Amino acid sequence: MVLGLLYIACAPAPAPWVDPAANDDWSGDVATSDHVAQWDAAGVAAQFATATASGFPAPSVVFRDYAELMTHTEASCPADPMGGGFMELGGCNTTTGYTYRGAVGETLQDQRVTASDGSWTGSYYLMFSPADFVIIRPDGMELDVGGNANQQINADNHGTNWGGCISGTFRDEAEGGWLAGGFSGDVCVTGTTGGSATVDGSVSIAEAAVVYSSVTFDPSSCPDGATGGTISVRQPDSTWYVITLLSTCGACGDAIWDGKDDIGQVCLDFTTFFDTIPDLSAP
Amino acid sequence: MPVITRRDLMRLLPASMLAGLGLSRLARADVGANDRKFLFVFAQGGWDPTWVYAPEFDNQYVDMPTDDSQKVSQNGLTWVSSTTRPSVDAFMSTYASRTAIVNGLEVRSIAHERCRRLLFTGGTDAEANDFPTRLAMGAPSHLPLGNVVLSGPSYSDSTASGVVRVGESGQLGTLIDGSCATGGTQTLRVPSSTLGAPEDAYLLARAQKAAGAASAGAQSRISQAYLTALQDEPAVTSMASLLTVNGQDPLDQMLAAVTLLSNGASRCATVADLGLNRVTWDSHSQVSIQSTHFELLFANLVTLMQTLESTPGTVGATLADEITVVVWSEMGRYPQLNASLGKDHWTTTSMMLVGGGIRGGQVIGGYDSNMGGVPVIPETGASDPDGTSGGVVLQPVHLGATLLTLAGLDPVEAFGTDVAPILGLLAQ
Amino acid sequence: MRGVVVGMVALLASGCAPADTATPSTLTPLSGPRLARRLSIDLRGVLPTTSELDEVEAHPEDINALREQWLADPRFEERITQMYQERWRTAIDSFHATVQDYGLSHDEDYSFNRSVGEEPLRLVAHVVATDRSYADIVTADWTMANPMLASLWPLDYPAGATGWQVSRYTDQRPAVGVLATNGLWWRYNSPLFNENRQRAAAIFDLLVCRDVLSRPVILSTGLSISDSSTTDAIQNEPTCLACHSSIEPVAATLFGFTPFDDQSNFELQTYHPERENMGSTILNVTPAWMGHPVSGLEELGAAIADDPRFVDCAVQTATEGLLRRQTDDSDVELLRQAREPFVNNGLHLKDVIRLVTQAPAYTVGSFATGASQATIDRETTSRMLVASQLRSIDTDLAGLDWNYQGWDQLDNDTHGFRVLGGSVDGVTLTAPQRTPGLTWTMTFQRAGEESAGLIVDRDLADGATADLLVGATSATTPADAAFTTAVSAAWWRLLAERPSTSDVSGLASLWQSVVDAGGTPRDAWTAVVAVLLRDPDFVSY
Repeated sequence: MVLGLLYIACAPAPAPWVDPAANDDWSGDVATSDHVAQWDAAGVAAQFATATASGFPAPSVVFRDYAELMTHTEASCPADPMGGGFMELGGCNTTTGYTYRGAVGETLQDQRVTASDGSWTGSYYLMFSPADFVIIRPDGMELDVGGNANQQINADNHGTNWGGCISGTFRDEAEGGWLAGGFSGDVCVTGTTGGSATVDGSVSIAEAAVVYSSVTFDPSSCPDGATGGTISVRQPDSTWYVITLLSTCGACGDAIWDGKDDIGQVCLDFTTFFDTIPDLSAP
Repeated sequence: MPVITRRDLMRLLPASMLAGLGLSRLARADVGANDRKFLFVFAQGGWDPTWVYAPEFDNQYVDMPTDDSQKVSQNGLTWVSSTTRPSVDAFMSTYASRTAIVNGLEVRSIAHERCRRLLFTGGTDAEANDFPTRLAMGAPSHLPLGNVVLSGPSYSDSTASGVVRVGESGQLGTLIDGSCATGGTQTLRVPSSTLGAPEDAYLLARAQKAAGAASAGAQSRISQAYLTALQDEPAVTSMASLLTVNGQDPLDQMLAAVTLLSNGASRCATVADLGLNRVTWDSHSQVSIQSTHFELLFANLVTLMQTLESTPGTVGATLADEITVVVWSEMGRYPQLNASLGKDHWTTTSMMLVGGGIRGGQVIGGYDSNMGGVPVIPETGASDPDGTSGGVVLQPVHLGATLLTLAGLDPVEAFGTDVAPILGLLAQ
Repeated sequence: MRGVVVGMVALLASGCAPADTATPSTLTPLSGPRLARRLSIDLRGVLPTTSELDEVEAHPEDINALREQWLADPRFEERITQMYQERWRTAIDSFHATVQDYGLSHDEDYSFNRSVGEEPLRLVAHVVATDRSYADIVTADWTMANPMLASLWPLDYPAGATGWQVSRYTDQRPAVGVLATNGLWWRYNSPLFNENRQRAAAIFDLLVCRDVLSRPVILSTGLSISDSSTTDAIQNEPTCLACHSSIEPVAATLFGFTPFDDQSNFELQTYHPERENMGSTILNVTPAWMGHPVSGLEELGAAIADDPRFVDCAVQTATEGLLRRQTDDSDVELLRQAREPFVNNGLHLKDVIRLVTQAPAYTVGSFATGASQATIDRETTSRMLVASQLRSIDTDLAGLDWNYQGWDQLDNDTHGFRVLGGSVDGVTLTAPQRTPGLTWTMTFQRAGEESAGLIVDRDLADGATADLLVGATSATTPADAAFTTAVSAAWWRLLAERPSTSDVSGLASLWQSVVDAGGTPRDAWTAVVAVLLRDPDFVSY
């Protein structure tokens, strides 16, 4: 008996093959998520505040930072101008201790006509593309850029339209605000001075990620809130809270977690966005 | 070891060949299939045929070059001509009689790695051997450097022994002459030829014994191939200078290939062209750079053809009668510009065959209104737009069958009966 | 009766060899020592020691115990790294982000590129070597990093540690094992316009062995370039849907790795959580794995782990890595048998390796009468060493350190001889070379000559105790009995065969020939060792 069992155990003839994939019912197989909503409404609002407290990303901030750092260049460093910027793939060092490494193409089209009172009409366009560079100060602080940015402003006797986008990774330890901690994302803002503004895109600052979907503002009529759109706030496990803002003026909206859990009204603070409008609407 | 540039060597070659080979200038003889040699010039990344091969100006859905490009026909060829690409015009007008353009070649993939394999082997089988290797292994007698890859892709499985890669930095030469031994933390021992001779003799004897005793299958394949490689080493060692190609300049590599092909060491060679500044032809943005890529490529091809036509052949009047130059790329580009003024991938492309055995002065195939391939009747090369006359949409495997036929090899054995060679491409 | 039962139990404990339905009787196994050599190379990347060979020669069944030892050997993890490199091909010589981008010198090119490319391979190898569930390769919340990577990327590498260590990214990327490694996504990059489709294709190829890119793309009459639906073709055109219906939903989960500048090291090195949801919007699909919706990348990893094809692919990958050939229909039974313990015992890949290395298809050394031509053409009775294997063997034997400006010359294609020596470069060459060629021969020649010199200098140094040339000194000549002892010991160690009298006399003649040609005794001894390191039975296994 034992011998027989042992013989069977070593028998060369295998059992008939049963394909486990033959059963097409996956419901019991696919691991169900054990994620849960970690935050209540206040928590979501706090997370949004974390992403926005240091400021709203504005291309002009990067442009000014870059322009200042480019005042420290020397004839031999960077030696290879490229499209208004520079290309120093291996990096170069100035005598004063600045390092320029990478490539940046700068396109500036400034066709503004300034009136006697300082106002101007015309158009202004500034773009970084490509922008894959680092500039290191003598103290080791550096501006890191990987992506592109642009800003466009058109002003005539009907008003001023402005817009700008910033995409990629941007960081400067020496700057305050959102640039100090580092920005990752792709966000565009368009607007009209004295009129409305629209934000679309994604922002990640200080390990807090936020997505704006056609979020509209009208500061003149709605100074503290938004006038529509949705804002998504990320939970660390990659699930999201989607906040649908009212089309009437307000800073609050109903929040749904992971497409299923209603966690109620979340009220957001848009102060830093409003504070950034001057940077967004002027060179 | 002093570096001889390929250009230097080619200036010297006619006299040196005559002296070294003891040949007098031959009267023109027919070049037989066994004498055919092949140089594959691979434009890596996927070129845009609309800059040279495909004058689709009448197709409103095709974004043609916006420079002064125009359609030109001359001596049986039709191409896109522009003052910004004078070398293209020079090539086409001078070498039309030796040149066949093939349009509408469907690679049937848009992934670079797969397209390269499809182009070179005719399929996606990871164990398939590429056309250059098949041609090399089908040579009537064994060639120590059957298929030399100076740059570019190469695919071989059962015939890997027939492929010799020069290396990205041309490092094969350093392996041969032992200079690979220096420059590191250990200086490698390289025995002198006197002291190395007993080693080589012993090893050869061991390899012969192993090959003779090997059992069938893998053991036999490996031991036999090892023996062959050991037997080839002395001949290859003497050719070290020819295999020491400095730099990655495609023209230097092409001319080095010509030297290897012409002195009987190789039957096939592959050179990759990566375009201006080696950015490759994969122009997803600013496709206009293809104009420069093509100008540089055709300037090199003009020099190449000048060299081939001015150099006596071993059988034919000139090397241009013996060497078939295949100029191709792994894919085409989407007919319309994208938002970055570039063009994305497209499965249909063009290629060019020049020189030995090719019926020149013709354009075979074409593009339909959707920039797909127009069927071609294999026997004649005539277009069969409706596909009602036995035409086939050309794929790389058809070109492979054609090249095998040109080399006197059986395409049926390689690709089966469903793949017809395009006899219309071949000179009678 | 008790004795019979005990005997049968012992037989069971030694491991029943799996049946090979492909005429196993026609596959003659290697001798014990040669099999041990093959197994040691495959599991440890080094030759067996002399004592291990002696043991197997005397007791062939002891190979099972040796197998267990070698599976636990620290070098096993390195071997699995190399095995997966041949399949996953991430260890390439350059990436879009370079040492220049990080302000490092070109001397660190090799170290940088290998560190990047090996990251996902080492994750897999660590899972396998430490007997973790294979599912961890797509669900782990850690990766493997070394000091180079730790200095450049957001990683919490253990303080004070060296070498490859378990580490974690600190940029909120999800817990999906290799799917969260920079190394995998730098190799299988995806510029913005590609929208992660190439990465999705890589997932199919590497994790479930489905090469979607090999499916023909035939843009037939259903597609018109004049029609705006061209851009929607991937969602509507049947020709396109054949692949894209699977690709797009997977690609949609990968947007946290999407770079807006695919040349920027800043963009490439960090996960971008704010971009996770872009995929659904841009691709207009619900993220899913093979038709089953997932909420994001983390659920994708879990779904892959639960997919039977993931298991099949693991078995296939390991089997092909060991057999040194592609599997086909004739291997179905072997794959099924290897799959059983893998699935039943918690997805430990060592169970697959154990079974496959006992199979006739692995142990085969020659064919008995009656083997079909198909069998003869298919079975790898002999395999040729390739550069990656030579590197570990010669380093172990001789301390070979063949490098150039920081590049390991048997592990790179830019300056070195990885591809020329038969290994995989990761881009063009997707399988190891299976028949010797000229460049392979020359690569092995140079490595062999140098290694021979190192061995001779070590073994025959004054006062040294020879490791390979046992019993020899610098004064030993063929006239001495010690010569026979030494070359026999070397032959045994290097080839796993006992030399015949004529074999020994052949080496003696070689030794003398070198001296007669003007060489020193050192030259002669080096020649003797060099030819052994280039012997047909050394370079194959």
